[in-house]
Amino acid sequence: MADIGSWALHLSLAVSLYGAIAALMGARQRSRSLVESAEKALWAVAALVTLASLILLYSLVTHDFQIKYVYQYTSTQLRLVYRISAFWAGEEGSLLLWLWFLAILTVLVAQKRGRSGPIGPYLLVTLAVTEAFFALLLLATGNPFETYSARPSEGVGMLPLLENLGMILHPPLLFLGYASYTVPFAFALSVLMSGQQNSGWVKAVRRWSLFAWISLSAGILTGAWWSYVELGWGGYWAWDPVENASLIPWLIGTAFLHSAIMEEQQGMHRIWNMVLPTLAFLLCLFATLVTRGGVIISDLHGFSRHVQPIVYFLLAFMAIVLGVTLSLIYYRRHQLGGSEAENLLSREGTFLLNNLLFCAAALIVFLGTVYPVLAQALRGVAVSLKVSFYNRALGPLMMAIICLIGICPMIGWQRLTARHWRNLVPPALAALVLTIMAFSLGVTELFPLISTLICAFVIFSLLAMVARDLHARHRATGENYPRALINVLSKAQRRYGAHLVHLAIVLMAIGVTGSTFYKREQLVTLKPGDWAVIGDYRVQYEDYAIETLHPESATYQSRIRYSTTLGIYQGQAKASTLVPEINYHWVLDNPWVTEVAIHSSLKEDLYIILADLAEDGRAGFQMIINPLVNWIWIGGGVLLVGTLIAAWPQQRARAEEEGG
Amino acid sequence: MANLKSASQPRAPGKRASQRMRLVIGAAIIVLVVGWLVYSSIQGSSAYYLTVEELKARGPSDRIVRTTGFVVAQTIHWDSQRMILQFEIADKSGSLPVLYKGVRPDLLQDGAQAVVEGRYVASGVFEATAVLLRCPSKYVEK
Repeated sequence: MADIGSWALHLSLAVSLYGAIAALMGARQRSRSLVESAEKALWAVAALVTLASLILLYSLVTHDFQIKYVYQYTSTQLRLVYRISAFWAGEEGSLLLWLWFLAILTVLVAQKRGRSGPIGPYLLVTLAVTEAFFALLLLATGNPFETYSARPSEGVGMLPLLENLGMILHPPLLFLGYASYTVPFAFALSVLMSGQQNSGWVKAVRRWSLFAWISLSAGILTGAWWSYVELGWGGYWAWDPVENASLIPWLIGTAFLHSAIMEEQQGMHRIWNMVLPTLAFLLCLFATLVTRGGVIISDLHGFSRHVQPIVYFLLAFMAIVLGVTLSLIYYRRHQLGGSEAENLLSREGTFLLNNLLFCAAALIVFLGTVYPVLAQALRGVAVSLKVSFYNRALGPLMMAIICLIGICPMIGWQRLTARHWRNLVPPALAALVLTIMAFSLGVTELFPLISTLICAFVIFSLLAMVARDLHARHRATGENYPRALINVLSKAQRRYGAHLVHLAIVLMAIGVTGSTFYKREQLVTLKPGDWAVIGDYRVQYEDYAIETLHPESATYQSRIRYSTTLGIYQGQAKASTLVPEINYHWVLDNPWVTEVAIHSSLKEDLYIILADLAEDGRAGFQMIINPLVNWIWIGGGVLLVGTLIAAWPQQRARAEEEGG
Repeated sequence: MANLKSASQPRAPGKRASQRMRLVIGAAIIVLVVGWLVYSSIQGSSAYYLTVEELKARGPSDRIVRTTGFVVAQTIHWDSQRMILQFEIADKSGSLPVLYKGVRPDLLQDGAQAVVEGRYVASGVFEATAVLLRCPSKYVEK
């Protein structure tokens, strides 16, 4: 079995290289038969990679421990769903997953666009080359189908931290996002290669770009959620290099989403729209370099790992991509001219500002990530940046970006008029009133006040806009308001989808502000029956248990479980029962694994970590109140819905697209 | 070819130039502000890594610094009643007692690589505000 998987990967490398060459020759010689042959080759690659992936899945599910990868990440005690998720638990499997997603996306793109217009064949070239690169990366740096000569009877098992719903969802979503950013990049590069002059491609790439963006967003959010519920340190984002590495392409991808609108509607930002997708793609590769390369050392993740060979492959490929794209942009610079924004205080101006701010934000996170390496190399000092770096440098930028969300829809193209200023006044006033109320209720620090002001302004501004649209439609058609709402929504589906996404960002900003500035915690030691008070909660330590699980065979699942039962009371009523626990996995190098317990509400989370449990039942707890955290996850849901609405095929738009 | 832009938008060249100038100035201000933000934040948020020897040579200080070393065997003392954690770390230049008030980290054990952030106080103890432990490579084959 493993041999077949390995051969499928070798073949896919050869076939994708053939596809790239055939498509390139087909494009140069305008030979339809060559391009069709390239398209068939890409279908073959997809089939081969799918075969390899299914073989790996089958081996994981059926405990084929002769395959090293299966041995290292699963055991017979592991539940089916985690045996499947073991596919992406390690480096080799996650790269295969990335290639698999890429191969499937490639045939979807090829089928729709491969033969259309001058850019089609070049799209195939770019996608095929990227596939070939990933196949090479897999075969050269980590083939998941390596085998032992004999078959072990039991596997090592999965790290307990990875046994969580978040770990089932987080990596595949992230890799789907990373793989999908190949598509906007491939479009941009093929436009450059073909020398096509019009901006039709931005429209074609829009859905792909949204798809990549929402996958990456969902990947980042599920990662944050996983970190919050599983890692047990009371937070969701630690500015760890591995987390940062996924945020940087997201920031650039967000800039591209907006920048593409400018090209689609106004013919502007043509150079931006070549550079941004390329950067997003390169930064996805950079993310792999950070995660797997061992160059950038994080405080929490792996340590003192040597530079891995994968680094040289990635750096070489990134250099080639960057070199080719930049020289093509230079070569085509005369075709990439277009009109430009003339006034920063116009809608065009806010889009330009938006690009600049997002790129600046990406640059800040990038600098923060590589700073320790740079400082070591350039100044010879060992230094790292505290989390406060990101709060100080990124906080103001993020506030400015969110402020733009409120301003942009209120002002018109080209320049500000008095009417636009008047539009801004009511939401600004309402936000000011709300902020003063917040101040009198005890929000006294500067940043939370500014955050309240800006978030409120944006929400009121979005509401004001909906009200204006509704009123206008009501006056024009005489429909009643509910009916008008439905019609307004369906007529301007893209715009309203975007407004929802913006609302989601504001909700998340509220959650981030609350949990960053008003987090409270206390350490308590209790005996069974004791009470503790934190915030509005009274916590009773009801019971405890110490038990041994799976002692018979020594796998990662074998452990001693120390658990406590806590009753959470609000007022006189019992709100819930929480069971925080710690587990001692004696097989692991780091045997202690904490399982936190959370009582969650819209106002705040009560987050309880069991620190210590003695044989006589005396226990130490860390109790944390994380205000407004739930709004981050709610924002995530709204984000998903908004993006789906914005990307959903529109009857009229679809007819237009197919006609044009 | 180069005139394509101005040809598509007939406008008085002087006005265009001045508007362009304003745009450039606006963008320059943003770049400067961002540059200043980055610079000042790096200044304010750098945590320098010192060796145990350097730390002792500098003496007690209120500056927040980081130091790193291996947890010395059998020095971990965890007072679960008061939630006070004490241990010693050692690097090539010497060893250092560390005091930390808070939950004992899961990964703390003899020989583990620890990064501690905090102050070196007059009593010769490092009062840590954060204890980070670096997990050894997860993917070692046995």
